[in-house]
Amino acid sequence: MEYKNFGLSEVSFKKIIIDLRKNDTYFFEQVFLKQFEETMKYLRREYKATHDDAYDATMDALIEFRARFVEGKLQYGNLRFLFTKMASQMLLRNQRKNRTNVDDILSLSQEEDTEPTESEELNQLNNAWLLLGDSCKQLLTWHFYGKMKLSEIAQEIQKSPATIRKQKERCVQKLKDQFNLKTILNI
Amino acid sequence: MKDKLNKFLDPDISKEEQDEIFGEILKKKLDEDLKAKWQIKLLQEYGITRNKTNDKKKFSSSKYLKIFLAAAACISLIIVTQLFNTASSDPQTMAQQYLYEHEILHPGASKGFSDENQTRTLAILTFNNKNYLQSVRYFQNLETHTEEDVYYHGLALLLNNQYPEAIDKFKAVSINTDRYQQELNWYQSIAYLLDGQSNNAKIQLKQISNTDWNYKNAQRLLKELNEK
Repeated sequence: MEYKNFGLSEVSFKKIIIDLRKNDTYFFEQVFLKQFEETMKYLRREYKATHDDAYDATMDALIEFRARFVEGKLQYGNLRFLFTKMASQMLLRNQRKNRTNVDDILSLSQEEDTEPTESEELNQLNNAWLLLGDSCKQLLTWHFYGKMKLSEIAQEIQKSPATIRKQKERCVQKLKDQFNLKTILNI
Repeated sequence: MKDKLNKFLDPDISKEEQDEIFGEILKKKLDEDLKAKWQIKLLQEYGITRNKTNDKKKFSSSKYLKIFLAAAACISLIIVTQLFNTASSDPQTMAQQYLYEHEILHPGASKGFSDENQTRTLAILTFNNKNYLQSVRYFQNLETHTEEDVYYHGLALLLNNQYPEAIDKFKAVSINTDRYQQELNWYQSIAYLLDGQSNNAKIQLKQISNTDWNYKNAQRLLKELNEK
């Protein structure tokens, strides 16, 4: 059973979920980064994927796996099979996406690209995020990325749920203010 | 992403919608952060890296891609032919061409696990992945800068079309070391040209002596600038 789950016992499986919900990825990395090469090899062998395509698909599968862990959508049972399956799906999805992109390029060659790139948007968000305090970053990360309920966070950091709820609102507003300011100043 | 951010910043948005959109954009950001972190770990601990040179193989698997490649080759041929006929009268176009003629890569990732080294590694990885905007940000976030950092920070700025800022960085490197002198003479000339500072470009180009890197290209640029 543990072979099917990358050597994880059921207890360790639960620990990964608890850690990931607090965005502690150490244990997850210990288990899954070890499987990276093996998964890439599988994709290259079974789907004749290129090195880069296999790398991207395995990385996307890791990201998706983290999300499924925190959303409680994974069961202890056969993680090895699920992970390989997910990496395969990511590979096919990425290949489909690449094909569509090329079709778009062929049909939209006259269209001028005036939209800022997604990385610019992300960069602006990163800059606003950097100005947030640590407690805000932790709260927003645990709640939105780790899918922890506000009541769970309140219990964890020994504050009342009402306080945490207010703090969350303040943190989101602070981020919006930083973002608006940066957009106005265009930095 | 832009639409979502605009919606998120809309003052009239409901709390529920705000939370939903914020959850999505934060996930995007933190997923990217995780990917960058895991890229480093995979490289440093498992020796696994994404090898861009293999990209070409995947193009051969699709009929559409083959057509696209053929079309791209034709367009390139037309552009190159036109450049041969017209570029000689435009030093700025020549400078742009020279800049992108060869891939500029940082020689290597730094080792170690401190936050500072991690930021440096991210700056290098993003530079080599041609995400120059992001690379500039990571270089800016370094608390201490080596000469190499400042030099590549300058290159990232140049490749991100931030010419005056790139020139400042190149000047800063020149003051402290002559280690990159030949490269600096060349790239600073390019930056001056692309920024429209022809006179400064000429002065800089003249410093490239006949045994230096890119001497012939420098002479070609000088010739065009003098004829202008």
